[in-house]
Amino acid sequence: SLASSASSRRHRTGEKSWRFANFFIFNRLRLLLSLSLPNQAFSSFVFRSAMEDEIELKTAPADFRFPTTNQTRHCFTRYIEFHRCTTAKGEDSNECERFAKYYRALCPGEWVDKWNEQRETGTFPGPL
Amino acid sequence: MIESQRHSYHLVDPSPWPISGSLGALATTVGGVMYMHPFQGGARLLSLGLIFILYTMFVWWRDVLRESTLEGHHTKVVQLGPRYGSILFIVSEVMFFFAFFWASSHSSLAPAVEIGGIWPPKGIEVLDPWEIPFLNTPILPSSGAAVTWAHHAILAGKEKRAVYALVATVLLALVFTGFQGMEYYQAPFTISDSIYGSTFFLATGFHGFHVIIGTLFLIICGIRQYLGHLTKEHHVGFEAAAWYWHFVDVVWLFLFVSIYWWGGI
Repeated sequence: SLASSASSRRHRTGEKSWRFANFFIFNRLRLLLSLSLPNQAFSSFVFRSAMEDEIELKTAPADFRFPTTNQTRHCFTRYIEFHRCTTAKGEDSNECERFAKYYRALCPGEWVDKWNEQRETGTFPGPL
Repeated sequence: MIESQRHSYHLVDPSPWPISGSLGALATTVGGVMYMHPFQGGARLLSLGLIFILYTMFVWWRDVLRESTLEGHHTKVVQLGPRYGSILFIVSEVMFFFAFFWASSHSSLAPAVEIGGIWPPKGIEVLDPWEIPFLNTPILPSSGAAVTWAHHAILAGKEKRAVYALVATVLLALVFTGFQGMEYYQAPFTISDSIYGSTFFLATGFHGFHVIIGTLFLIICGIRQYLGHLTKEHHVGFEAAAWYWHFVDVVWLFLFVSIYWWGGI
């Protein structure tokens, strides 16, 4: 019975690692799919190469600071980062364009409009 | 009297105070709702109800003192009732404050995007924790030490000293309340100023209310001690007041650390 329990233990461990690998591969496939398919939910902007008629779709990269499904804080943080960048490096700086793409990908348009309006009237509550 | 009953329990005489307290509570609640909605006479009913409740407390507890100190019904086993009752009441008060600390933590640990994701929110000029709050922090525990001094004096039979100790306790308590009131008056933000104001004033406000109740309880203990009601073996009312006072003290320490100090960083 000792031998059988040992073999069953090995089998159980094997099963667990298979399940983990499965989950890992599944998530990678999901990410690949989200980046490759022209789906409105995933993609945010289209990049056309001048040489070939190829559509490249990108979105903001996953940020380990915001692991949750609710990405509100991720959107807000990128918005703040963009504006801090423009304050520090000047408007129309190339480095800040990266942050701009991120927040435009993540944030709903209504939020961005509301925050822009708040910034203009001086009532934006965030740490710009 | 107590010799004629062959048990050591207290079967109370019929009393009108429970029903009068209930009527007062009814008037308070109905009046309160009327006051907060557009009904005539709400304020009057509310104040009438509150006065009625206060009156009921006065006469009910006066009767308890009469039955215990003057008529001798409070044997050791009867004393267990008020003892455990006070402890359980204080536990329920702990739960009450737990709710307000939870509310404060909920809003301050992960500040919402709508207030800018920062704490304290933009525009709130927080009170410097190292000024009045820091001054108040030794005052309240000192009055807690004074009440312990009073307790030891009672246990040692030093009746005059016990009165002095209670006077010291109450004086320190009044100083604390005075400073808090002053700071409330001069605070640059109000209860309506964002979730910060709400959680701040609710937590500290209820604490202040409990300080005032505790102070009143201690004043009554001081009067009773002066009148010679308390003996070194039997002073449950005093012990309840002392426990309540220590509870109030501990809540202040939590308030200072979490709301004044951490909340202002």
